[in-house]
Amino acid sequence: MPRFSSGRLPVLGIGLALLLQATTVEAVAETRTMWLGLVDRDGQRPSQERTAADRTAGGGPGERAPAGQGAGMRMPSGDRGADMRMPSGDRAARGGSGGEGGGARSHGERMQKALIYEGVFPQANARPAGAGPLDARFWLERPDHRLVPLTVRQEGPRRRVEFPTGTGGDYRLIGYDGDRVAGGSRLHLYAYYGFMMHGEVPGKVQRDTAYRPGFLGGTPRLEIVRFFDNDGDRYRSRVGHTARVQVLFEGKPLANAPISLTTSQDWQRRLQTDADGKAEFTLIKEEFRDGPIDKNRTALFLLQTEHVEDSPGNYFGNPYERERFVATLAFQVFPDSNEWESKRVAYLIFVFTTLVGGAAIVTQRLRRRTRA
Amino acid sequence: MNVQRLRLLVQAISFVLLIYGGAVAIDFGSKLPTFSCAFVEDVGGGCFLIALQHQLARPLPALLGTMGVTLLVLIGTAALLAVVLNKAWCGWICPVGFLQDLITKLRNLIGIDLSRLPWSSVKRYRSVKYVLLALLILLPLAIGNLGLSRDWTAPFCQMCPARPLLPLLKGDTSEFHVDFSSIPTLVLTTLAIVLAGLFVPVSFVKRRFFCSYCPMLAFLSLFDKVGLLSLRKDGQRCTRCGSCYRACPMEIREIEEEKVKTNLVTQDCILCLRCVESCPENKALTATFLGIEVFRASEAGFLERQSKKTEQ
Amino acid sequence: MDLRKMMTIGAGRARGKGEASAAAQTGGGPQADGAASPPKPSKSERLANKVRINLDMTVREIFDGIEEDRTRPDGMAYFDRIFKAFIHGGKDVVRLEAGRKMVGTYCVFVPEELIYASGARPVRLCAGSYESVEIGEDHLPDVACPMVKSEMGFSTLPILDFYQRCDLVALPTSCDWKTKIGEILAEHHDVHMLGLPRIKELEASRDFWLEEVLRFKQSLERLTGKRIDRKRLQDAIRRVQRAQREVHRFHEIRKHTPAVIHGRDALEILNAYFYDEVEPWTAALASLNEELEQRIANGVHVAKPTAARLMLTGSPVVFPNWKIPTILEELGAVLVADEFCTSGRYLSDMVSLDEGTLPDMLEAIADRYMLPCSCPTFSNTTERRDRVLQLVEDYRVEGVIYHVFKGCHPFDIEMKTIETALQKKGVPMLKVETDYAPQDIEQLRTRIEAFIETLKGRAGVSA
Repeated sequence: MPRFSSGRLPVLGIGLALLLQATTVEAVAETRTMWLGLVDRDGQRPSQERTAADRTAGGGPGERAPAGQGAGMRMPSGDRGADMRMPSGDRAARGGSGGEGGGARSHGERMQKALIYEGVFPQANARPAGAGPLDARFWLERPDHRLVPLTVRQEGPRRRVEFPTGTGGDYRLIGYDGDRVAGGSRLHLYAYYGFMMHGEVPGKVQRDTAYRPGFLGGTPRLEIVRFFDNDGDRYRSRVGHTARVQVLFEGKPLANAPISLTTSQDWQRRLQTDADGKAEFTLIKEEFRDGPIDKNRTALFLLQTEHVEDSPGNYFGNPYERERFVATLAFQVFPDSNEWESKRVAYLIFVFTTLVGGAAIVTQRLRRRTRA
Repeated sequence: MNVQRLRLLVQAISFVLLIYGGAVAIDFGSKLPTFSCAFVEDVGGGCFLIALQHQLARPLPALLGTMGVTLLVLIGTAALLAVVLNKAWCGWICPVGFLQDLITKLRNLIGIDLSRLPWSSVKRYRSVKYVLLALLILLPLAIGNLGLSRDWTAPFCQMCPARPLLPLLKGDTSEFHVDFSSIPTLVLTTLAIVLAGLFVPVSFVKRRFFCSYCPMLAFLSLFDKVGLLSLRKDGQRCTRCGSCYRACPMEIREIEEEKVKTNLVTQDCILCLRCVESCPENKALTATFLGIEVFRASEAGFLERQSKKTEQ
Repeated sequence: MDLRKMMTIGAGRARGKGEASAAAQTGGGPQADGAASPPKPSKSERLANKVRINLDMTVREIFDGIEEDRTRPDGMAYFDRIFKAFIHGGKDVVRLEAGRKMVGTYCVFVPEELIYASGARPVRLCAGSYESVEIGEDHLPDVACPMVKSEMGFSTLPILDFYQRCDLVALPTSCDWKTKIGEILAEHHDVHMLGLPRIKELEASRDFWLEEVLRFKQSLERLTGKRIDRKRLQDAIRRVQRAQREVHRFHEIRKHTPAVIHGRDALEILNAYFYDEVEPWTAALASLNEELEQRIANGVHVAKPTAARLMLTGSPVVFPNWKIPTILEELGAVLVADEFCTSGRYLSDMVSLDEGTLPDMLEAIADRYMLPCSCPTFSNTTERRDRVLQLVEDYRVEGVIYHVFKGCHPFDIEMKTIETALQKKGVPMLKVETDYAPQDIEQLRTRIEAFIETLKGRAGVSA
């Protein structure tokens, strides 16, 4: 598996894909991107070995090590012992990552960190963002809809944000940059990355990531929201699944908006939203095509949409004709479980043992009867 | 009061709350000492063993640090719950136990006789549950400290038949699989399916067949002498008629044989209280909570229950 | 007057069953020469006659004594009838429909439920008659216990009608005597030996005993030609359980102080269960229970509140061996409980159904007859010790009389254990070793009187 997770960045866990600067939508492939990758508490970038997770006192998705890790155990939806789930389907939250978040939940807040990467998606996955201007601001939207502003810190050549997670439920990392005016356009960049924490959710279970007012004192003007057919998919997007999304502009469905899905292999599919602002993408397999299947290997897919409003204005002395909104939603995709799991074999074994067990019992009974 | 009917009712309510309760935002946390499998979507309250296995998979320094507190809280909560209700977690709440009891009910309806294991086998296999409990503690520790493959993550959950079976009750077959990704997962998940395959036919003839080997029972049995809910025996009143032994789904012979000890919550006891019901001697067996008698064997009760059985 | 007639009946029955000829072939049977010429009484018939006359006298004497007792409940009439029928050869003791099979049983170990389920009638043959002991002595060594001798007498000679009418005799190998009389009885009856294990704590013993119960079931099915299925067995269990329910009610009544019924009458009531069908007996006990409960309500008693409350344990006391209970109650004490396999605990332990399938029923039956049984034939004394202690507690017993037959070794051996346990509880115990012979009555009376005096003394001290 190439660039994305070939070992240079084993911590694929939670990443915030922030589209920093776009050229035009027509040139999506050239888009420069920025990332947030969760790291362990010591700020160490976990090694590519599986022990990375073990050193990770802060645990979380960082625990999801590459090859060989994980026992194929899905972290059950009801399991409060595991930590992060991503709405986009986090296979990571299974197995190895368990327990930690549960502890975090019950004992106050635990700091999670995310490194910021930048570059052209997907080519710039390799390293965190270093020097250079970064005007984006970050928030963590907590399950109770409280917004926590995050500070960007410089750490050697890298930048990171820190955010606490305590209770379980839906979280959303949000990045926003609206400072650039170029070529008569003011650019508003929104980047979303949702994830779920295992654990007891305060109050009513919040499973709805749909548009919520109150963002940034107003609304996130352009939003991509993903819908899920069942809870299992919320933390585990698999190849073959359909990603159903809706684009909202100022809280209302945005029809005929261009929306694209870019995979970490640079494959791209572009669609337009329907009258209800909705679009559907089938998650493809290309990332997992060669070699033996590693069920824990994931790829980051990026959804991107944009919208232009003709609303002239002036931004700190920079006049503009239009406002241009770009929003991204990143999520992790896992291989299809059929690649390493067999239900058919399970059914065969089940039926076989049932029959053998039943037959053994019947035989033993018959023998007993003849004796008596 | 018909205790077995009450028990069935409590079991059914617990079953619905635990398995389906999550849908209406019922949440008893994830530290329950009972086999309410956390792999069931929206489980109303989860088995603490999965969290235990995950949390133990840490390096020792972490376990001795803040993680230790987390771990202690987890174990402490489960232990506290264990002390309060004792094995009633098994006999009155556990969904897997309930399923087995339902299968037994079905067998009773058809009128097929039960099977018992020879005494020696019961005795020999008693230790299996402790071995499983030890493994589900030691293997995660080995993952965290000795570099054991993460494929051994939550080893017991991987081999537990409740994982494929319980989600089926919600139409979820996703756990009904064999995992070919590595040898350990292949072995463990195959074991789970084999156990699930044996579950139906074996528990059809052998009451509570799975419980005898359940590591949760092993865990609960660590607290059975200090449990607030208790089963007491007055040896002098006992005639050793064997009625309790025949009623016991766990085939515990001590309940009949013991003449000296007064606390009869033995390691395999699930506090279903069938023994108390089947006992014809006044006050020979009593169930107590905090020392207060809640149910006791009585001749009158015995006669009444027997007449129901013979008049049918 | 009717001696001749009875003789004929007896001899006729014996011949009719083909046992006389069998005995003739072996050449050793006591009635071997009697069978050839019915009109002229043989030696054994003369002996049988003599015994019958003596038995009649004993029974009459008992009832003459009893009828003077004005405190007896009216409900005793039914039970009296059964025992009065012992007079004149006991034709009316066991009343049986024509064609119905009768199974004679020994000891408490023979599962009656199975017999009822097969459609046959159980009749327990444990005997308490001094008169027939003499005949039994011909077959058994001197040291044999009087009960076995008495039974042998009735079984081998046509004295009591119903002993001769048994279609099958079920005999458990409870003690050495019972184990060995099977061969002798086989000359007169079809005998089904039930192997009883001695160590009942073993799994193998339970399996073995269950197998024995199943074998007995097959034997009964062959006898009556009826299959013992679930329905029939359940029915039988219900019938016996109903009787037991009344027994438990009766036991509760006996716990009352002051006593509302004499111990001797209690022995008679439970003893009568040997001979009648379970339903009439149950009905009779039920009405008696009502009467006694009324007595409790009305404050009618048969003994003074201060009367010493005594309990009997040990070798069973069976009609007409009313020696000990009569002495006790003549001395003003009251017999409140007993631990005899023929009365006090005869119907105490019950079949306990669990799932109610046929195998469950059979297992429950096997368990009922062996596991809770406190017969000293088992290696373990714990059950008996605890049962005695519990009875002492429940019935507020002040003194225990340990009754041992001469030759009844199991009870004799256990005596020490029981005595020690009672001593620990501070309950005095008197050991009485006797047999069915009336010669030692006065001596026994003196000893028991002294014992009761010490009890009173103790009561006085403590008061």
